[in-house]
Amino acid sequence: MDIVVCVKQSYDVQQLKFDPSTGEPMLAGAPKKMSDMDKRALEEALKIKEASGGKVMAVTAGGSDVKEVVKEIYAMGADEVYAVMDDALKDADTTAIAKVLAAAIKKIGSYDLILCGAASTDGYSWQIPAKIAANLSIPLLPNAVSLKVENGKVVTESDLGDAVYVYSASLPVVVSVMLEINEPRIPKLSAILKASRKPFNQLSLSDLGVEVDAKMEVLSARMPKVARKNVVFDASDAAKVDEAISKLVEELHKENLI
Amino acid sequence: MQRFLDEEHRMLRNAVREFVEKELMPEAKELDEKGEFPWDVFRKAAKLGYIGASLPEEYGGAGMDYLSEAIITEEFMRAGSPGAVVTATLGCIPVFYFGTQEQKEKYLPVVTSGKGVSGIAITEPNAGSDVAAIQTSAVKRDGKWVLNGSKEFITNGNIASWLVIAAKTDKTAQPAYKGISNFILEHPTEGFAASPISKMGMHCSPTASISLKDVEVPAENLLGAENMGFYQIAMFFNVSRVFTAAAALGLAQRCYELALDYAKQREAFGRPIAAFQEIQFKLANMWTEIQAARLLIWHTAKLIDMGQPDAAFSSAAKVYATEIANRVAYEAVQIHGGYGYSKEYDVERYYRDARMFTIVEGTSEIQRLILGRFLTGRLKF
Ligand SMILES: Cc1cc2nc3c(=O)[nH]c(=O)nc-3n(C[C@H](O)[C@H](O)[C@H](O)COP(=O)(O)OP(=O)(O)OC[C@H]3O[C@@H](n4cnc5c(N)ncnc54)[C@H](O)[C@@H]3O)c2cc1C
Repeated sequence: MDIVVCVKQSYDVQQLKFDPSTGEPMLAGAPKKMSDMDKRALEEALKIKEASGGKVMAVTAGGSDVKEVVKEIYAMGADEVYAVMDDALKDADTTAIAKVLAAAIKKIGSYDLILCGAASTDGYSWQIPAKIAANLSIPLLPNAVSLKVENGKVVTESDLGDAVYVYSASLPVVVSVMLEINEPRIPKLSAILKASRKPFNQLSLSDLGVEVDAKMEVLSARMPKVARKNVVFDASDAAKVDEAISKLVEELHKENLI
Repeated sequence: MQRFLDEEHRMLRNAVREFVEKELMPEAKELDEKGEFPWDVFRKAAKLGYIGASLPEEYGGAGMDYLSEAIITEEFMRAGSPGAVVTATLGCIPVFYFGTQEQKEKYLPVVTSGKGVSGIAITEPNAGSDVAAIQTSAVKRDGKWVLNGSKEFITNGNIASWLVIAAKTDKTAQPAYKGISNFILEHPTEGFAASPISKMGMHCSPTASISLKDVEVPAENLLGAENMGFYQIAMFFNVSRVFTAAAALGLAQRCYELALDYAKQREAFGRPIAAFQEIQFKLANMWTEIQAARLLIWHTAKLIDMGQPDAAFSSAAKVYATEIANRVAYEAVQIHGGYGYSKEYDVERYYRDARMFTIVEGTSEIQRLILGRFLTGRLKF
């Protein structure tokens, strides 16, 4: 079975620092890492390959910083990695990125199963998997928390928020995965070393015959402010305790916290 | 600082950090309280190639460089004493440098495969800083070496599968350091006994007193040439001091992280204590010293990788990193206030762990003597 995984190099949001005066994230030089859910998608692909054979290929699209994620994907165990590298992709919108990824997948050739994270760690739009599926005209099984491949069919348990649905579809199909689906492996040192010697397969937008002109404009990105309300309930002597408790409960109700 | 590294080292650092945060951090406190060497973690780390990463692949290593080892050591010690699983390779350094092909093939894979740990026994009850004053003797008898004496404060002494032991092979040598040789001793061997020493900190890293009574060592277990032991030890220190420095740096890094988090959360006089200039200055100093130590360590490791180990840099990295680790740990406790002194908070154990590092592998005083000699050309021992 040929599995293609879509992987994004995201900002490591846990390490993001914010400008204290404007509240804006300081993105210049900020550390990046493989998007969390994409890493699970890759792990799932590797597990399927280990259990029943096949080939794991990965595609990534972005600016020059995709080079690092390519090595990381190899280190985890992918057989082939393709990188669409173009500065135009740095701030392209999800429609354009999905078009590019779909074109890259077609270019690679054969695919049975396409796996991707349900949302990226930084952009968190949840749109890419559906748009890839639409571009390839194949079904999407979204938000998988478990995945099985049996007799040419994929069965997922998909968490759509209100309930966990069981879906099944015939290959080829796109499956987007959630964090809960697995615990990704940590690459062995020897695999990290070997990754540097694997080929860097670069695809350009002209190779793919795709033009990217849709830019995404960020209007505002700010660190959420958590203002403390500093409400004090006076329970300084025993007589006031009952009243303080009922006021506290009342206040918590007002805030929809209980 | 990540940006200073190439992609391979950055990936290595991320992978090790992930391993430590997943496998070690959540249980570190409990492991430290148990006070045992964390064998499970050691085996898992060995499987991923983190133990002896700089050893060639033919001996089970990953064939990486010393910079990688320094990074691995720092990351492991961010977890405090349980991270000391990386000390498993202490004895591997001299064996790799001075051992025969047979010795390397026999002893190094024991450690890199995660089967057992190694150690090196130099210090004695009456000879610590003054290495040349050791009294353990090795005498040739019937084609074997017979060792007698005692060793003190030996890391992994009671759990190691094998140890490198320094002994006097020429008691009359002048100066005395010219009469020392090193031997590889397997465990168990008749006449060898080790008992653990109870310590202030570093509870997951066992330290033992060793007694050697007519312990027989096969002739082929002499390491390198006879009476060249002191030079071998000097070379060992050039390398091991970088790792000791990196270990102390890992503790310092974690202390800083804990102090920063706490300072942002803890409120006093109606604001987070991080808003007070006094606290900010502490954090600023801690952070700066950590960056400086890291650059010194990476530079020193790089020198070894370039085939130009430099004892002055090794000593400078060791004395600086271990002393800033103590300062940083001290301030981290201070920033935590009373909670820093309680066992509920991690900084308490890091503070105790850090204390060891200005003593082992040559005290701060000895490092400064070495540096002083390099800088002035005057011997002052
Ligand atoms: C936890 C732990 C683990 C250890 N692991 C090992 C190990 O694996 N293998 C091993 O061989 N050893 C090990 N050691 C021993 C360690 O290397 C020695 O403790 C250290 O070298 C100091 O020796 P000492 O304790 O005999 O102190 P001493 O040499 O007695 O020194 C006492 C004090 O005098 C100072 N001093 C000594 N000489 C001078 C001088 N010329 N000028 C100025 N000041 C001086 C020292 O700096 C120190 O402050 C370990 C020690 C500890 C605590």
